[in-house]
Amino acid sequence: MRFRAKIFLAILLPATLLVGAAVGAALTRIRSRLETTAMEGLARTRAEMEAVLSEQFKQLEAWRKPFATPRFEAAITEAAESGATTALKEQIRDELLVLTEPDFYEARGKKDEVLLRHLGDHVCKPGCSHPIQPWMKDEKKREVLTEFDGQPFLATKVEPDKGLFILGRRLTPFLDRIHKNLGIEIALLNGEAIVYSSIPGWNRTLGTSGAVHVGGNRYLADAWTSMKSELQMVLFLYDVSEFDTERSRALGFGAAGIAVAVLIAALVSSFISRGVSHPVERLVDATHKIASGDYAVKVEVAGRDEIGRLAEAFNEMTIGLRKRQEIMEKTLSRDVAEEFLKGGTERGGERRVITIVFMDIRGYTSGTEGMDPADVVVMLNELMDLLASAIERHGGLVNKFLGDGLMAMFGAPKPLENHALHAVQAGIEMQKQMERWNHRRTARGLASFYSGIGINTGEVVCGKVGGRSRLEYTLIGEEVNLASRICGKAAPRQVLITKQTREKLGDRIQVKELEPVVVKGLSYPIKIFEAIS
Amino acid sequence: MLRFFLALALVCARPPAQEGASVSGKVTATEGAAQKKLREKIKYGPNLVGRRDPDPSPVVVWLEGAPASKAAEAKVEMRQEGLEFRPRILAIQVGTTVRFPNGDDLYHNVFSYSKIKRIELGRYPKGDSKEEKFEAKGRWDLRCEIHEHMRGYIHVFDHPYFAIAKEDGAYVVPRVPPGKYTLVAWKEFFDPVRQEIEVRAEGAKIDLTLVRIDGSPAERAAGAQGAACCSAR
Repeated sequence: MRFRAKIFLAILLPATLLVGAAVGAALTRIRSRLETTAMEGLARTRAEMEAVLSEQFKQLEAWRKPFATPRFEAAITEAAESGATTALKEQIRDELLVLTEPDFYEARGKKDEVLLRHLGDHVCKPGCSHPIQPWMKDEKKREVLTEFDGQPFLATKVEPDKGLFILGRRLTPFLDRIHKNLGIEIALLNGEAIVYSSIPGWNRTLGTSGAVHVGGNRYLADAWTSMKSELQMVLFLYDVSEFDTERSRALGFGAAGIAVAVLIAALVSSFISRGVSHPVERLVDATHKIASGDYAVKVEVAGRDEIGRLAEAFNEMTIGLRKRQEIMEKTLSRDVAEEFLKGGTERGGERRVITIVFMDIRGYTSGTEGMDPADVVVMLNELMDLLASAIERHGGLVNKFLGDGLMAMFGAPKPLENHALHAVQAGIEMQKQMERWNHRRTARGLASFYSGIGINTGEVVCGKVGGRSRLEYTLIGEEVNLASRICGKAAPRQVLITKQTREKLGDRIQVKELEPVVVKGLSYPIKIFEAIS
Repeated sequence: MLRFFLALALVCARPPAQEGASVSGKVTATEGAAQKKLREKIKYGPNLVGRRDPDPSPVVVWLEGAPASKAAEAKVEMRQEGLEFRPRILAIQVGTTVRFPNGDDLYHNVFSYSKIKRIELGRYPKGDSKEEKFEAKGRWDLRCEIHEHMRGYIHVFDHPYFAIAKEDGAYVVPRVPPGKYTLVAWKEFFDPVRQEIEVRAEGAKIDLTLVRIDGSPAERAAGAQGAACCSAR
């Protein structure tokens, strides 16, 4: 995982946990407050409902009393027995002279038939049918919560010797009042029928317990049944949408908090990674460059922190490497060094046709006699520098400095096209450079030195040769020795070349054939040429 | 053999019949929930523990379809005493006057909402008495508006073929001319039961069972079946 991603997560995860914990705590608080408030509200409604029922049952009993008299009972019994309701009607009329008219009353005969009925403005017409309710026949029940014609009623009964008289008090106004005063929705159910409901749109299928959703609002439902209820249930519904709003607000805050945390984490991680990742990446790039041999690289990193110190150390390391490379280049030459880098330090060689150039200063011993050795070194360095530059300009490489001479190779370790031509051109230039150098020395009143150059082309073994602890790139073979011998035959300022070299020159160089010479190690004379220009 | 003894017993118990034969038998009435509930209602006493049972209300048996006959004017009493109508049941012939003397130390009242004729005797104290002449046949259920448990019943017939059964339900309707009648048995809080009978010279012996009126429709249906099992011997 990238450094930046790690920092991002390191900030985001704790922040998210923190926001999550805060939101969780808020939700818990809202839920517990909801539970408390809703439970209290529902309990208050229950208590109020019970109080209202108890009060209205009392009122109902006060209504019942005047109807539970011997005269009234006798009138009902007579009506039940003979069907004659005259006396009953008279009795009711007499009672209603002093009583408020009950919301509902009905008299029933021996076979439970309705003898007369009153429900508000509606009086049961002859032949109307209203089902008898179980409690009317149950001697253990006198007053109940029930329904007449689909409306909620508290009802009580008078039981004469024959027949039945029912009195009812309409509950709707009281339910309306409880609903209005306590702000809690109420529904009364009788089987599938809704006898009363303060919530438009509610029906049984929406649920009667737990959370109930009506018209986009959530309610907490509490089913309640009274001992005296003939109805299936009274349902109280507490509107909890206010808490839902609070909850969604808390969740919104949580989401916003996490979004802010993400933003902050992104910004901070990007800021920190700019201070860490980018320098590290620059260091990585620089390391790659060094690996590919570019020691000139320098990492620019500001700051005194760990990364800054690492960069500084890196730069120091680069400087150290660069010094070593310089030394190596000077002592080994770049091409040879590259050869070593490419091939490693495994010893071994290969056969190759190359051109070998030997140079030797004539009259060196006598010329330097009486000179300060330090001046000799300075002089040699100056001269060798000039000659090596000339060789390198023509694509050759000084393989060895041999005191007052040198050996150079063209075509090794890197292959070179027309190595013989380049070598001869280099030899001619070397003589020219020495001429100019001598002019400058003569002008300063110093002694002149001249050199002879021998060039040969042929197959040699070239490769890494040496002990385990030290290696050298060396040329071995007869052709090397021949080049050296030819050099020995060259007069000062002369460039001698062998027949093999001459054959590879073509017409680019003007040559003059000299007398064949006998060289050491060969039993026959060989053809030699002088390269002129 | 049994018949012989029964006939002998009847002959010994009553003066010999002038004409016709007697219709006799036994009426069984088993109380159901409805009757028990109502009987509970007419118990009276200072508290629940001290409440006492009302006076018995025996079964009344009569024949329907008998020729009307006028009886001599008579006077009978139904006292109001011990917070009861005493006796609680009267069976009389049309034209009879019933006196209602108050024998208690408190006011009583007598009223009936009978469809045939209302009775309204008002409230009156101990020692006072009101009376009512019954000039139509039918039944009057009497109550006292002051004491709600009090129940009295007066059955008025336009013929003499009726009887009040003994406590065990045994009844005898004497001197019934042979013919076809409907025998009716009535008891407080029960639905009356009727049966077609034919009275021959030697009389008839008929047992009846009164229908229980219970709360549940199932019990009522059972009661109705019970009524059908009445047997004639």
